[in-house]
Amino acid sequence: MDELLAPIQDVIEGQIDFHGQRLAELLSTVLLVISGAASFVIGYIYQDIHLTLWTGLAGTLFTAFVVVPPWPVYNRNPEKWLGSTSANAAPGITVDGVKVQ
Amino acid sequence: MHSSLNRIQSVFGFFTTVALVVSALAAVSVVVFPADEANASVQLKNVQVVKGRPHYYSTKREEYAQLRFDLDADLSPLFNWNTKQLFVYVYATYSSSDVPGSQVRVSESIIWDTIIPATPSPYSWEILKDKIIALLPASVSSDAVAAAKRNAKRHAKSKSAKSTKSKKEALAPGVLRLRGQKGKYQISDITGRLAQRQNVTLHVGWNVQPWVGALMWAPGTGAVPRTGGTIVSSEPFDFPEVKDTKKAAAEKRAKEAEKAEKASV
Repeated sequence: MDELLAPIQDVIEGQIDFHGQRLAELLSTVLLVISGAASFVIGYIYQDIHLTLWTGLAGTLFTAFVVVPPWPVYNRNPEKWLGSTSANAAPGITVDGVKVQ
Repeated sequence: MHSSLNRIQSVFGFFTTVALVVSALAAVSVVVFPADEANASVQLKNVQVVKGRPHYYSTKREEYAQLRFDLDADLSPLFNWNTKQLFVYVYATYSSSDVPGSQVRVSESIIWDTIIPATPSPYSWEILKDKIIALLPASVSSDAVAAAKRNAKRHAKSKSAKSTKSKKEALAPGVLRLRGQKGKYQISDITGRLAQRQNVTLHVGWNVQPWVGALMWAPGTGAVPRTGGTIVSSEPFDFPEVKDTKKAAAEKRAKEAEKAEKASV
């Protein structure tokens, strides 16, 4: 069951690495500010506040599409975690003190 | 930002901030449209004071002032991108006391009003919704879809009708020209007496209701924030004496005849 659920959990959690987190933060801020400014300008030029509403919502949805899924670009610098001491001591698989592989 | 849920939350959180700022900008942007060219003038056409009852079963008979007026107004400068609708009203100010020359504050009563909606935007929710539902295939057709299709057709029609009309008259809403318009509401007084009340004046006022931002009032109403524009009020006049209606006159005559009959008996 675990092998089945683990990939699903990964997809839903959508974890990204530290550099990806910084990039996502920057992108969400910049894209939302741009969409807000664009929506006001477009609505003002066309003199129609409904256009402001729709462009603002569309920009927000676009931002969410860019930022929320764990796109590969957010996982280009995975952290090299240190393994446990036992794993470091003897590479390979050990069963009951006997090296299998 | 480490998980999807976390990123959804931060995007939505900052979206609310951006939405607030954009709305505030839109609300403030109306100062760019001062609407100084808006103008309205009202003149009294006819006034009469009649006796009546506040409702059918009431035994109280009081006096009501019924007014007719002429109104000329061009309020189209009040419509800008942030205007949802305009509430226009005609109100009468008159002395609150039936003692001539009294110094009490004047009373104000609205005698007529109307709502002028802004020209519907082709991007408004209702029109877009009807357009999108009308695009749905007939296989999912239902009454709602059929209704939406009719509406979409009507929107298209009204648009073309408007464009042909626009050559003849101004497209912008807010131009009013009323002749001998009867007031919607009568004026009454707590004392029940209103005849010969002095120094009555008709005025025009309006409320600009925006999509976002503050409600704007007409100049001369004393409220803030207010728009530009000029309002020409009517000349002061006095309410006339109570008008005898035909029915009342007939009743009076009948009563007198009855009295005379009794006296003779």
